[in-house]
Amino acid sequence: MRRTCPLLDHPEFSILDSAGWREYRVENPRLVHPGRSHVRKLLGWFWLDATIPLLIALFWDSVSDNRAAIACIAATVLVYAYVRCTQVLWESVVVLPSLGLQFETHRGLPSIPLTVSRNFIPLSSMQDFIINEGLRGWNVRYYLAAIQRSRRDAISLDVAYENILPRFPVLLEVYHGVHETLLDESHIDSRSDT
Amino acid sequence: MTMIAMICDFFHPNVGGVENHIYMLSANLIRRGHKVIVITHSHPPDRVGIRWLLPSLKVYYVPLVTIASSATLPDFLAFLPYLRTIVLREGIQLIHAHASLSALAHEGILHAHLMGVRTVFTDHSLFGFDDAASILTNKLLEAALRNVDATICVSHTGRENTVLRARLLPHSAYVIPNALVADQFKPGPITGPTATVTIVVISRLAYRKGIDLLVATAPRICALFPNVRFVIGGDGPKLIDLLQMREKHMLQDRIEMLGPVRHSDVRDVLVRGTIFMNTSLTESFGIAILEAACAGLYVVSTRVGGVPEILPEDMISFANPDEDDVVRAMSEAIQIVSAGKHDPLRAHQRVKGFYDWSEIAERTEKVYEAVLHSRPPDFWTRMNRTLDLGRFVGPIFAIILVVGCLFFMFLEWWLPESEIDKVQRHWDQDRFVKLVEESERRSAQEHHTTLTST
Repeated sequence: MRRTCPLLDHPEFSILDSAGWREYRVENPRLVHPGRSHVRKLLGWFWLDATIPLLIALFWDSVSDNRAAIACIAATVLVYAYVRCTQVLWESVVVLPSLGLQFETHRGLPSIPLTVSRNFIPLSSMQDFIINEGLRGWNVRYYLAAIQRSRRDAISLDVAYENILPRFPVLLEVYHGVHETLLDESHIDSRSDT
Repeated sequence: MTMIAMICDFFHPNVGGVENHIYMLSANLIRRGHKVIVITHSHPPDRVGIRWLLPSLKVYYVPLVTIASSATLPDFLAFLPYLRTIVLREGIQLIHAHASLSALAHEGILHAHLMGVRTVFTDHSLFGFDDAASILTNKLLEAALRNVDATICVSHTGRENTVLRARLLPHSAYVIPNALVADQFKPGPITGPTATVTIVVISRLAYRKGIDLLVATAPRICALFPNVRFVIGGDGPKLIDLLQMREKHMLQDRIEMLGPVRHSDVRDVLVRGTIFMNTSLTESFGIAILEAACAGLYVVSTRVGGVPEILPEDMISFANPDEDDVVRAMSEAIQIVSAGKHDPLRAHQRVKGFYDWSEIAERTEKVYEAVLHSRPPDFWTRMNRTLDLGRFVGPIFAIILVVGCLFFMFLEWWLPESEIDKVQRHWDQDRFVKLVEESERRSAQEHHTTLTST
């Protein structure tokens, strides 16, 4: 398995090549800091979590008798732990030649991936793979989308890198890669038959 | 080659004169090598976001709420975030705003200076001075146009009206008329002289279009000339008056009501008749009259607004906007047409030479060049001009100006320029032409190989 970082300006983007597939991975840019030592990295995401026990220790005496307050604190701690454990670590577009595309989102603690959610788009139902622009709040962003046409002629859009939404140069790389391996190949096959 | 943004509340999918004007002007400017985008409001449920129209016209549908007949509420700050993002990502150099009733257009002009963008405004309609709605809109217009770089009006009467309403300096207002695509309005095939004379009326059935006048004069004309038939197309609040008139005078066989007519079907309706009747009470240009004249019809119209400026005297009969004069003008027209003195084909050839969209685009381009070469006023001049608006309106708009600047500062912190996805690849017409040639060559080759192999 070979890993390359083709874009110098965007170190969070890397391509992993293997025998049967190719993965275009975009890591969460907030967690990618090239050149930082491991200790500093650990301290970086650990310090905020360390203040929670400190705060609880400070305020425990004043609220230990109040049941509602304890329930509130417990709820907040659980919510905070859930949010920290489901950070998006990296998202990828996996190209399976002649089979289709797979969009993956890996979540968990930094350097400990916990959950994965995958979305497979078969090549037979895929119409096209496009870069489109859309309004997002007050901003306009570029996004990659796969257009699927179901058997009943219903069109649906699946967005790649939905949570991270990388910048245009990254999207262009992935766009060209997917078109060369998946979409142009089917076009080449049909041409060689005639 | 300039990057231009057309801003207006009124754009497709709505159909109308302003929408068509913006689209045709943008298409012709693109043909001359500029890059044009259009910013308008969204149409629920799903016309939101970014769409493309031929030929490489990008349209931004911004999600703002409309209040009445496709116009948004004039709150002066809701559009600023979207405007800033769009201007920065597309690299806009000039904003061309349309229509005095469009709040988006006013906001575009008011906030353009924050991003160093020049402004041009086109006014498409005439307004009065004495009713409440006019007084309010005129004041808002004056405030917006106080700091605009150039104004364009569609007729000389329109220019006088706009200069008076907005208290502009007269030399800063240009006159560039509308135009039409003459090939879309060719006359019908020549038939011999027929006994019936058909009068066509196509308009929005509203008070401004003088439908009351039509209701009053149609029965009289039908009584005076037994060989006359009416064909009325269009829809609106006054439809019910027309239907009632038809019932009352038993004219169901003489007056045909077509209902709403799509713009692509207008020419087919026009060539059914020989006379076009327009009874508007106010009309700044009268593009419908021009379309009818181009299709070879003789025109009868009320002498209002900019209508006397658009056609030569021998193609149109004028009337004052009262019943008797309209009937007189119509009798004159029927006599001319029955005597065969009006030649539809010659009329079409003449109108074809009068108005042309590429010429309009060239004249608009000259206005843009003049604006881009002039120096923009500095903030102090802008503030002084705003304060001069009046005792109450001046401070109000000065406050809006300052709050706009503060909101802009906030947006620079909330959404810095580095976070905005700049447009790096725009539509490239040359590349498109090359790809088309390549694909044609490839399909011709495949066709050739299949022929030779079988």
